[in-house]
Amino acid sequence: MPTGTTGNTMAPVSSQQSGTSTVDIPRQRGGSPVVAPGAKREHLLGRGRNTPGRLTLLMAVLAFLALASGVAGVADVVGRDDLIDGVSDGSGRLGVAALEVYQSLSDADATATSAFLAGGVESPELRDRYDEDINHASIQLATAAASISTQEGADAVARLSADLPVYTGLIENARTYNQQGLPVGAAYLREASGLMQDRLLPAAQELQDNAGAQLAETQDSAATLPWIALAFILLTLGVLAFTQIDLSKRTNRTFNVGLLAGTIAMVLVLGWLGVASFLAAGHIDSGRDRGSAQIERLAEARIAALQARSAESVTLIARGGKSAADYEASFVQQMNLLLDTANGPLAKAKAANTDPALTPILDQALATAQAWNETHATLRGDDQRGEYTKAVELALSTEDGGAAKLSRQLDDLLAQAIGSAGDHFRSQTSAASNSLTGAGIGVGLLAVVCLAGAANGLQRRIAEYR
Amino acid sequence: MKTPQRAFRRSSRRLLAVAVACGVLATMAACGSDMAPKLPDDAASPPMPVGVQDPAQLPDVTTDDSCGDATASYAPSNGLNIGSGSTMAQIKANGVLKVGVDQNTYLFGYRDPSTNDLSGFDVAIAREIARAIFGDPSKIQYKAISSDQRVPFVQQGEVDMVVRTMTMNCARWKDVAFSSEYFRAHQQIAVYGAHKVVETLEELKGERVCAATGSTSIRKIADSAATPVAVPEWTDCLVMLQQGTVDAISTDNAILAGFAAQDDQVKLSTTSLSEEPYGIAISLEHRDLVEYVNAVLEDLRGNGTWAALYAKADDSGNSLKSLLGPASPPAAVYK
Repeated sequence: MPTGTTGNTMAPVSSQQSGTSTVDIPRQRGGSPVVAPGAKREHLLGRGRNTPGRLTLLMAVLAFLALASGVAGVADVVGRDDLIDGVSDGSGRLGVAALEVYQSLSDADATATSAFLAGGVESPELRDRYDEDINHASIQLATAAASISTQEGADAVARLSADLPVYTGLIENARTYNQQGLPVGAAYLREASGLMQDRLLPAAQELQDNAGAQLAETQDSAATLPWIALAFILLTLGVLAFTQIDLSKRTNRTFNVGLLAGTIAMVLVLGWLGVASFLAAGHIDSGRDRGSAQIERLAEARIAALQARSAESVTLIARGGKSAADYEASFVQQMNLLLDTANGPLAKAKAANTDPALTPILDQALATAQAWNETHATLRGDDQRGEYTKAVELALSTEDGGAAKLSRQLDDLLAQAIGSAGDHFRSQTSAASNSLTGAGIGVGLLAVVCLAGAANGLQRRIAEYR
Repeated sequence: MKTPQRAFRRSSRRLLAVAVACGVLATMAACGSDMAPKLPDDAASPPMPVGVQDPAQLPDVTTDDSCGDATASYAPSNGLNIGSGSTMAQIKANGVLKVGVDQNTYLFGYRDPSTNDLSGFDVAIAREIARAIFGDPSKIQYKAISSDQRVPFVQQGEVDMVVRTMTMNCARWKDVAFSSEYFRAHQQIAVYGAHKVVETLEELKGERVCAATGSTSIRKIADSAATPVAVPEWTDCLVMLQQGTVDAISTDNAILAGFAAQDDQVKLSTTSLSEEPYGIAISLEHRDLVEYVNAVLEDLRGNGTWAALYAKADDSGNSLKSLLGPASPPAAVYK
């Protein structure tokens, strides 16, 4: 096997190399017997003069610190880069998938109920939209399943996978009976909608919460300061400074070129690593505040709008009774959330918004929700007065002021806003990744330069004792 | 030679990176995900209609014959005349008759899915009353209500009357007044598919039997050896029967016949477990309206309208007559 042979020939070479370097050090230490006995104890106690032993120790400490700074710095850059990848690919994709599962399911429910409300055989548009929603929910569920890393999240995915086919089965039953003009179809639709509200959407909510937490955690980790690397770097700089001050006091030379070069290299490591991680953290934070956090708020608003639309339809489909009152209460709850100008998701999104292009979209969304609420009040009044047909017409109307048109407009506006926040999230995450470009190699090389400089500088002083 | 070396180096670098990532970042998904997703214990449970009570919560009152003949109503004393200050005059002033109906019970009170119009025997009777008051059968504001909302809606004045497959009995007479009997139903039992057709509830010992919450039927099921399951709407019983989450439905043949018309697999018993006289519920304070409605019902029985409504077929060709057999209107009994 060629690979095996290669591996075997590799090993002796590297061990020989390391063998040579280990031999070097004893040779240097071998110089110490020249010095008077007791000197070793002396410089261990810190009372030594510029003995080669003391300098050798300093060199070893500096070598270790420079190496440690380099390794910690490179590890930080590599780890941070992985985390940023995690923000954009893993957690970010999961977060988007979880939101889309929730949105698609809500939209499927709203669409199925609207289609029923129209009576008879549903329109091809509504049928297509429902099919698209179910397909999209399934795809996003598979995406979420591949990226979820918490037990609760995985359980939520399992629950959604188990209940989604049950839901679609009930909808098909409802559809078949409805097409035959049999009232039991409406009972199947109520059961399906109940399953959606009681089991599927809570599971989707849990998945979304988990995905959001996972993303926030990754964002937090990606935006932390590189403490370990900074500690090593500062320590290295401190020892370098001490060594140079000490040397300049003990010898008549003000500067040691090697040590000075090493110091400059380490200052550059500090600067590069600091600036790169500071910039990356800034982009990550911006991607969160104006990106993913904004998406969460806007998605909450969009889901509230879809749920309200579903509730509006089911109130009419439930054909009275207690359940109709429950569905109406659900509409009022969702609409209050949308119109809440203090703590509602739309209000919060507006408060957090810094993008001037988004402001008119958010304003328009709020105005559309208000107009829809007024239309809803009118159609509820119609239904209360027994003018059921009129109420249904208004609910399904795609004319100006019709509930179907307004709810669709609101959904489109919110989708647009979510898209724009998503763009910001992606561009900031990619900017964060870009700010780290070259930092790994740069920090590593500079640490090696520092090591070489310090070693060279001290080697010269040690040589003076030979 | 060099390529495998590089590959080795690259893979070892990758291994190192993974090790670093795993060590530093416990949150990363890449690090050995050995999670087995679990379903909660109730995940295997089949879907149920919203608001199902399993087991059913039961209405308190059972047999109460303190009022004697529960079908006895107030005799019409003033015919179809609407006196000033009467309840009918008030309704006329309101412009609409507010009626509580069912929108889910096939052939009695239901919304035809193809037209979205309310249809059925109960609805037709209500339209005849509106025709008598306004000369226009469409002057009705329908309120779709569930079985257990019938009494409170009449008591609270939400509706002027309830025409909704409502059995007259002495317990209900304490809360509402009834018109004379306008339909005679019988409690029977429906089973599904391969299930043996049963004639008594005792044969369903330990089995799950469905009826609507707050109905007289649910009480009878609870008094037997069967397990009662209550649902908000009658059609929810049909859904559960089709889904196999109940073994049988026991209620009025008028409702069961509607189920059998929607699904051939629904098999009905033939023995009447009890007589279920249907009356129109009106507030105890509106005796004049009760008498007026009784005068209207007298007309419907006499002039052939009742028989015509009983025989009226829907788009699918189903009528009460085709499903329940020929019948004549029940005779009015007055106190």
